[in-house]
Amino acid sequence: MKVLVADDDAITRRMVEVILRKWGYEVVVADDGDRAWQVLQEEDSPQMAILDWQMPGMDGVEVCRRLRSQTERPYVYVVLLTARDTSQGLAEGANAGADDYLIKPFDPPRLKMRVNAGLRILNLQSQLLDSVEKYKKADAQLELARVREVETGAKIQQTLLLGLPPAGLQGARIAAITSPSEMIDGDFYDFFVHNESCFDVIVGDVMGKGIPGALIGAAVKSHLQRALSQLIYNDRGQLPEPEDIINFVHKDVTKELINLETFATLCYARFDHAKMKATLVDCGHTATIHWQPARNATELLKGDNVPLGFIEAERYKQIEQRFEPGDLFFFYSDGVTEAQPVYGDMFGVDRLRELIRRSGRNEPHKLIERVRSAVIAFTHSETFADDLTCVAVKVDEAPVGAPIIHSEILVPSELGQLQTIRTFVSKCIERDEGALFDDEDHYQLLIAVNEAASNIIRHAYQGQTGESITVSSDLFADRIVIRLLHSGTPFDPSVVRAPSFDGTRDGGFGVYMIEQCVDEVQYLRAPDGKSTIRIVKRETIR
Amino acid sequence: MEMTVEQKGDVSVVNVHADHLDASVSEEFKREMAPLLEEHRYILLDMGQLRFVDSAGLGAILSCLRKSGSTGGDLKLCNLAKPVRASFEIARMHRIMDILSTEEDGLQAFSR
Repeated sequence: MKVLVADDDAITRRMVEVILRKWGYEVVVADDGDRAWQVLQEEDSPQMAILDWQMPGMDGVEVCRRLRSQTERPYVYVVLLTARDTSQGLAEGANAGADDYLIKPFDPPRLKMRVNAGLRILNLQSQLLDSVEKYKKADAQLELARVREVETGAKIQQTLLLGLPPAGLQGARIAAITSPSEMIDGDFYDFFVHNESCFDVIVGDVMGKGIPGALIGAAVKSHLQRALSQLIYNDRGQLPEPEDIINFVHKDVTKELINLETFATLCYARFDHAKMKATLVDCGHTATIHWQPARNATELLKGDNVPLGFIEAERYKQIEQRFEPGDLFFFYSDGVTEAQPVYGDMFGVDRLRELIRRSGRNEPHKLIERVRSAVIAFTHSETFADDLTCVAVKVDEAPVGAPIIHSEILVPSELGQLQTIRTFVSKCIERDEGALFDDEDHYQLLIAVNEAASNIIRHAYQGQTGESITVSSDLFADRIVIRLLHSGTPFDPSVVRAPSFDGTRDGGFGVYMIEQCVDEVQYLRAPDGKSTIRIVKRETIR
Repeated sequence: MEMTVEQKGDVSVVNVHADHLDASVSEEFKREMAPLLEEHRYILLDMGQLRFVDSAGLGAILSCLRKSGSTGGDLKLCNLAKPVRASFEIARMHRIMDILSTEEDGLQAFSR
């Protein structure tokens, strides 16, 4: 260890230096306070300083005081040498931050005691710093593990817990979202399509957060699939009833769930369009909302079974519900109804029912978005304490028949024609006496058609003039269908980069805006090489 | 595309005399704006006459905003018709632009 000896008295300095060297210390000397300070500021400076109280320049107390104000540098153990043995003097040294003192003249054993004490303290301090460093590292690793767990949980949720709503069903349209809370929990949903007119929707919620919750959710889901295939096999291809599926799963999992001290709420619903009937098994889940536009009313569908994992003796029973064209079923997790601002009541099922009664005529994905926005507005928070899961099943409306009005125009592929196309679309809408759209929807449709046409002119035809676009409009009682037909390069929206909303790039907004503005957009290619962008906008009920 | 400039203190109010700002005129708009952005530090774009703005138009305004910001200036918008404002909202651009309802509000926003 390196020790600084600072004394203007050459004899004392020399004596201390020699003794310390004999004891094995590396010694640096200084003959005044300024030099001592300089040495202490160097790299690899001494860890211990023996400073004479009175020196030319800075005195020992001042050097000590300055050292103590440098909190970011390693600690230096300071022993003051003094000729005056007064309590006032000692107090001054202590206030300046000195660790010990030695009264001149002194003999080697006294010096040794002081230096040994310093050495012990410095050693203890360095051990302490080492452990603090170790704890900090361990803490950082723990934090990293926590972040990884959340990421893994999110991945499990995306891949194992959430099924993809089936598209292209006959007789119904389905939308589903989950807005995960900061902590992953075990909300899950899935869809089993049996045939064109029959499919099952499963929405569940596991008690318990983190990866365990997510894994249990995934396990329940896989049990459902196994139950379904096993029962179909047992019954020689007959589709089992929802209550049989749930009782089969219950037999398998309830004991395990009880052992794990957890449970899962679940709603298993089958939609049969041939019979216009829904069959539900409610395992203690939130009540399903059935909106019936014909009566402009909502009904709560609730069974009286307990969640899976409660009681082994439970027998699950299904309930039946008839539905009409245009009806809507809304499934949700308690994250929706139990959403709560910092001060105030929960969102509640009544508020949700009323929202659905008012907005139920919308497309399922729009309705879900409205519910989500309403919850955000209600809680004044974009993050949720609990997962927010919604699944909406919309039964197709009665067929609306042939289009009321068909119109079309042929325009040259020039950007200057965008105005012509917009005027055409506006005229098509204005011919509808029932006024399908209000000003806002009208403008959204103009944006969508304009962006589609602009993409065709700029990308499909790559700015070439002399080509043409056919724009056709079919106005139905409840929607408008616009087709833009062209013979340029087919447009692939999946290669368009997502827009950057922070203003760092100008492009990519067109495709995004189309999707925001209309209910459906399809990029179709006919065998003759012609391509069509088909846009559908449905009547919006505000 | 005609644009007129009116100096109000430190702020130059630029009036866009056009019915629409779409892909057919967005390049022209950028060309017309370029010298204005060099001459004037604080620009308040009065969009009162516009009835339609598409993604190319939004892109053009965004590029003006960036140009203005890069030289230490600022660009704000005012007087947007309801549908035009909807375009900004659909593309979520209202979050990165200062949009004021009237010219007076716009001028005041600069003095803050």
